[in-house]
Amino acid sequence: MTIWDKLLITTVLAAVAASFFIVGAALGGTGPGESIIVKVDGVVAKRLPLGEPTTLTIKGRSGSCRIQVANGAVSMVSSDCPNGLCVAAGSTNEAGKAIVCLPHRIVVEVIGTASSSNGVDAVVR
Amino acid sequence: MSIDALAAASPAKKMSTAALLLAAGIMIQGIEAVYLPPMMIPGAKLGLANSITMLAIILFGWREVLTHVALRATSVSLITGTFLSTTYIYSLTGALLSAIAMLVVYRYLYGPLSYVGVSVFGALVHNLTQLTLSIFILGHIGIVSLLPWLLVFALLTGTGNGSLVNIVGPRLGDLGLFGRLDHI
Ligand SMILES: [Zn+2]
Repeated sequence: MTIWDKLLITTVLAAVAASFFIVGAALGGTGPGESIIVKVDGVVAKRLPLGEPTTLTIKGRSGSCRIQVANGAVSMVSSDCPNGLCVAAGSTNEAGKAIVCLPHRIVVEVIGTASSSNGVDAVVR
Repeated sequence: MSIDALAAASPAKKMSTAALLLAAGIMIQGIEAVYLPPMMIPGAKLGLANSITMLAIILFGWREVLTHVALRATSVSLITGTFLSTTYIYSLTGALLSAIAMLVVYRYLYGPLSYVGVSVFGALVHNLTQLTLSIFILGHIGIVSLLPWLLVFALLTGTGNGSLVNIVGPRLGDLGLFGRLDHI
């Protein structure tokens, strides 16, 4: 490994730290959502209101995720995916936010009022 | 050394070396695809086959390298039954774009950078490709939240594979591979 390799690795590590903050700020929610849409490989598999507590198992491409709706928020409570980033994402009730399991290709989107499906439309109030 | 030896080698020797690398690449990626669960995204995993791509970059030109990764991705998808599925799209696009990145970095920056640097660039391009494709295929911008993780995974796999090639690359000639082929 050369000094330039180490410089490159340090630069990427700095980008990792920066991206944590930038991504967090850029993807901020737009207030409490009303329902969730579960998509598998981009195709809608389930629509649920956030108001009714429930748990369901969604089968994805290479396994399944257990999705829980409780206290007006949604979370992935368990998953047999190898990285567990979806479970680590915790719970959210913010419209425009999403919990993603890339290995299983499952996306849980929180939807606000009719027009605010991705957070951009909801900026106009 | 091996690189000069291959430049002056017969077409048959080049062909057999290319075939050997392709077989190794298919075997490694195939084993990862079948026995290791998808790490980050379909087609990502440890990316050990990427170290074989780097050997191809050391020994061959860009045509052979791009052919190598395209044939590898296609062969593995046929073995695992994912040919022409979205898994194949992830795998092929990632393999081609990361190979192009590594070819360019190897051509212009190898020297100051070791194979670790070349490999890290390849892994970064691969994972960013997967992220971009995921956003379009899965259809939600929220997938961007995985960006920091994808960068970390790229650093780990890139450094690992690059370190491996730092050891293996300079010793390609010591394997006796090219000498033995001389006598066929
Ligand atoms: Zn997951």
